[in-house]
Amino acid sequence: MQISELKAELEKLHDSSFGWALSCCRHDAAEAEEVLQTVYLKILEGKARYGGESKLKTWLFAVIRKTAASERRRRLLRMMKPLGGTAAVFNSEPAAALERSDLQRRFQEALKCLPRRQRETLHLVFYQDLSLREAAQVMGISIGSARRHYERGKERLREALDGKESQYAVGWRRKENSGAVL
Amino acid sequence: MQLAGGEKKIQALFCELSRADQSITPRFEKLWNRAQTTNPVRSFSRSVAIIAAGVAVAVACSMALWLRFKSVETPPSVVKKTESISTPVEQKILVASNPKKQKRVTRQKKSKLVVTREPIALSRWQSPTAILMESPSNALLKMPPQLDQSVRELESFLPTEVKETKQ
Repeated sequence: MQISELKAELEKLHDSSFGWALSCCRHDAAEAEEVLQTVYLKILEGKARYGGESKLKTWLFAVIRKTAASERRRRLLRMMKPLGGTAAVFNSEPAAALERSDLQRRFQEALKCLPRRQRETLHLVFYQDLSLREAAQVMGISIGSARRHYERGKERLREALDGKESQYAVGWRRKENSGAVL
Repeated sequence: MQLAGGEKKIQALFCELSRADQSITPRFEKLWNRAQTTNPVRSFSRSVAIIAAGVAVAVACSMALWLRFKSVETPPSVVKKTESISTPVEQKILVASNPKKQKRVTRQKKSKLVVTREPIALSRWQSPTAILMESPSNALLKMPPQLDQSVRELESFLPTEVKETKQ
């Protein structure tokens, strides 16, 4: 595939790629941006080559996932150094700036509590609309493992949401009836 | 994929999340151009760093090997002498036909070999300044004297007339 054709395809997938990068970087927009830029750099340098064995989206997502993992490792090493004080720059949470419903906020918190693999599987299936087979390809695992992560993740997310919903309801009821108790 | 009631709720939440994410997505051109500009410098520095690290490792290894062999090695003159006298330990090492086994045996017995070589080397040790003590007349002094040698030497000093009369 020519680089100009690839560029056009990448541009089409840019929004979903950034969404996936966000998911890989625990919703850190600055880190996700850096990861996506590194992915484009890898493509330009020819370090990441699309062979046509799978869908372009699946291949691109796998590259993003690997790059995010290596960036995470590099960040950890930088944080271990005594003078590596750049971590504070990436701690911004642009998501917090957005107006979101309580349910959405609770959903994001619950999503962050999930194990990485489960979170990634759910994101690929629900957010990116990929099949379980494609999600397994992106994550480099078997389809059986992907199904297991999907089922467990869904269950845990539902439990977390229900638990938080009930906690929220109890808290709200307490607030409402505080005068009656006193 | 067919979705159940609970799954629909999760999907709806993910949809809302994707809409929120879209608002903070940077422009494609911005990231692409930035990647293009950072391309040569980053790749160059990385490759240089890799090459430098490789060279440093190679130099360190060769230095370590050189120092190790240098410390084990004895002076060449002594080694030549000791090589002719093969100790049982040396013979065992030479007999070992399998190269891997030979290596292992050599490693294990290297220290032993050094210990056995040392007394031999000491017994045959010669001072490097011994040559200075030698003189040209050493050979004459060490030789047993010949019979009539002194008479013949005296004759050479006699005048020729005396020699003729003698004859």
